[in-house]
Amino acid sequence: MSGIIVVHYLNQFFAGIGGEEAANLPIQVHEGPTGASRLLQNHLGEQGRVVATLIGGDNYVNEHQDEALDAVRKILRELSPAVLIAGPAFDAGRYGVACALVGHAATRDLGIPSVTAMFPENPGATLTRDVVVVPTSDSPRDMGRAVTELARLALKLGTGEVLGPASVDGYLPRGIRKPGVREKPGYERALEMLRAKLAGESFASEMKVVGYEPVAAALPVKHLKDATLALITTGGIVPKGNPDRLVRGGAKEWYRYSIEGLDRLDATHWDCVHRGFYIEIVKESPNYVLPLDVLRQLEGRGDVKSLYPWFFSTSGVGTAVLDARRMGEQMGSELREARVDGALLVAT
Amino acid sequence: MPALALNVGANRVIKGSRIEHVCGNPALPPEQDRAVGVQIVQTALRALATAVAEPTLFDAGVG
Repeated sequence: MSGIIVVHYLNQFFAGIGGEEAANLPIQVHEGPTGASRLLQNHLGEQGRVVATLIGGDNYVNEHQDEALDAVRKILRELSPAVLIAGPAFDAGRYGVACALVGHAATRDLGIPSVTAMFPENPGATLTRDVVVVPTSDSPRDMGRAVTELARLALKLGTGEVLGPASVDGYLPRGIRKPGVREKPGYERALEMLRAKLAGESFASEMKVVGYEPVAAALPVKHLKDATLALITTGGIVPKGNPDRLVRGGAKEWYRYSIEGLDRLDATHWDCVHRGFYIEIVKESPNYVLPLDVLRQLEGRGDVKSLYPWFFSTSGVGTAVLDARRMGEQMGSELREARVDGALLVAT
Repeated sequence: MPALALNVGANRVIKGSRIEHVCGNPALPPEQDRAVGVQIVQTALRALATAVAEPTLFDAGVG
């Protein structure tokens, strides 16, 4: 088979190994395409050859970044591909971050161009400028289009072709500027944008500011011994039976549940609703993502004065940034009114 | 995933044990499992009482 040499990075799920229970898989190599990389190979056709599939468990790569990337670099040095393709990750946060990390290691450390694909709100999408990111929808239903675009851009990158601007070549802008001459001078383009904006017409910013907004840090709690603290979890802890019907992902709501008179959360009265991690351990002991047992102990010792009698809960996976911001503001507003001094938020 | 939290702009971040059991370690005997949780929560309390100017990682000294 002819064509440029390609290596494809996949997580444990898209490689066909398993789901959450296989998320701790260390880096593996599979000769040739496997799982979803077979689809990629179809799209590359004669122009590219997937000589190996690199596989990493989503938890492993995130929790053991140094070892994982050392293994990735070692394998890539041996295989010497013309391009590294990772994903598509869609809105899977750990997977998206892993794709960005693997691509960054390939490009920054070994000079191998890399391309990945994911939902623009995936935290992996803005992690590094060294990896080209194809925007996708938040669902694997978009697989066909995502793989087509990945193959197209990978062949360009792998044959040394220079990519056009992001809006033309179909990838997320990276804030990389290349000098060139436009048709009109800057002041004319700016006035035209202003005119369109004032007329309520659409216009395209030439340079968008990307990234999360900084939030001023709250002042420290002066005296913990006099403080009332609140507990929050994005681990999806709900009363057994999920009376409020918290969703397993893409949550737009959060709920408050009483901890009055409770020393800990037990498996009989509580449950976990979340599609983003292996939840069986937390179902057994919800305290792992809402450490009520520890906080009651510290409260008893006088390390803190008291706990707010409600904990706040939502499932933090596939959460839209705007929804997360709104939920945080709502939670903060309630806690401020209740004169709570601080909050502990446990995220998975 | 502390790097993620810092990147998004959370100002006080403590690294927990593992994604599936953030405030403890079920692989350890119950007393030590609990001790891990206590260490993490106490680090969080220390963070609450510490002035920070920007996203800051506090080390709980576990795993």
